[in-house]
Amino acid sequence: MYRVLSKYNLITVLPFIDTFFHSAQLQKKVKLSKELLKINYLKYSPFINPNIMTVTSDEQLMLWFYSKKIETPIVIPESYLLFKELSKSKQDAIYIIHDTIIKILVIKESRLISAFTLNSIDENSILLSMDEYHISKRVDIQIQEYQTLQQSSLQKLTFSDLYHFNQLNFDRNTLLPKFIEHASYPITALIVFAILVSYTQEKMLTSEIENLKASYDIEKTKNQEIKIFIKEHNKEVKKWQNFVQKELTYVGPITLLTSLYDIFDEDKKAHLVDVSINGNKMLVKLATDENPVVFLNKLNSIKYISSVIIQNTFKPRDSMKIISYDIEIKMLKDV
Amino acid sequence: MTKVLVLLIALIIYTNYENYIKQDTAKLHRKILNLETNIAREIDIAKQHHTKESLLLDYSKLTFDGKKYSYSQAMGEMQNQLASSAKDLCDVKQMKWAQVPSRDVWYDKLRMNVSLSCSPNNLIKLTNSLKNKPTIYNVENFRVTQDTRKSLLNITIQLVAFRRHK
Repeated sequence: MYRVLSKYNLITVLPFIDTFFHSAQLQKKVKLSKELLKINYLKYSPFINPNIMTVTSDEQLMLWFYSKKIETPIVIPESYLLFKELSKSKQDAIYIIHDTIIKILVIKESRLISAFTLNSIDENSILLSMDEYHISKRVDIQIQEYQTLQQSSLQKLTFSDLYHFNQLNFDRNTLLPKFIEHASYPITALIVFAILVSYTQEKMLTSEIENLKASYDIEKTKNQEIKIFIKEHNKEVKKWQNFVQKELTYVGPITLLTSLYDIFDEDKKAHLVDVSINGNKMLVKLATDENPVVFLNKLNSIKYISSVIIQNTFKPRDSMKIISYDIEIKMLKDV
Repeated sequence: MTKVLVLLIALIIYTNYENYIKQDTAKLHRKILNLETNIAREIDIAKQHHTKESLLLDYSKLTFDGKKYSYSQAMGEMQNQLASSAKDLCDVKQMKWAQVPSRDVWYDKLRMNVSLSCSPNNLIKLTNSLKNKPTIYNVENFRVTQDTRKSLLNITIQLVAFRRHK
């Protein structure tokens, strides 16, 4: 990622010597605006009117001050890159990098406590720093190892690092004009494209409709005559359906009578005396000495009959019992 | 300034296009679907190979023709048909015409109260004979009792036929 960014001149790694590091304690993790940072921490800067870079981790605020004016949108301090690589070993130590100048980083509890440079090795300063930060370990890094560390850290740049150190300044007053300046022609092109796509789609659909209309007209003309006959046929069918529904509602008397004879003919123990049918009501009088319920069940088994009740039973002198059954006939459509 | 103007004009054109020129594509799709359905229906009708003869069936013989028969003529014809059907089968005791029906639908109901005396088999033959005639005959009120002396059935029916007005 670093290669690509540097190729397009989007990133600058600020040398150790050009920055001044300060570590501050925060009560809780908060995001501070530039104005608040300046009010609270500008007093620690050795530069006049400096630029400030910050990284907040847990309750620590790391600040880098620098005075150079840098045009690239992302500016990363070298000390931060080294800290990221060195903190992986998770040991509290004072790291002394032997370059053209001496670069010193103090890391304690995986935090960058201090970062500064010396022109030459000053054992007293180092001992004082170790004493000040209660560090007992000292790690000396030679130039080759330092270059490897630097390369490794650059290769491992994350989006989070880029976000922390981006210097983009969005001024509300200039944002809209800038946006219009850059986006006017692309948006216009997009609008024209959208209109063209929509118009083309519409034209295609309209043309399809025209074709279908033409096909429909051809098919319709072919069937024109037969459709008149179908209409007349349907009208006639409807008329006769209504007629059948109104006039031929119930099963015919002869059909019913045949069904009755079928039952009583096979069973010589009874004979029909009187049958009368009026609409859906049928009255059957039967002469028999059998139990009336036997014939009730037989009558119920006839498919044209919906219900049967025994109206009365009469026993004339010297003759068989006369049983009257009141029967309801099914409608033709229900048979 | 030119860029703002260009963007503004583009937006105005787009808004006007959306509001006044652009057609409702959902409506166009519905139109296409309707046309496709209609075409399929027309093709289906053509495939069924209907003919005038297969569709326009002659139902005229099912009822007495109002142009050919007046009410009384139709009743007379009905009486003749019944008498010819009952000949050699049943003894027709009485035939009584019902009242002239009101003209409320496309047909008149011709009712005739008939008293017959015949054997059960002949009764069925009579009804079959009436059924086989092209004219529709229906029996509305029906009563059958047994004549114990002659072992015949005494039958009272209301025979109904129909006469169309046009």
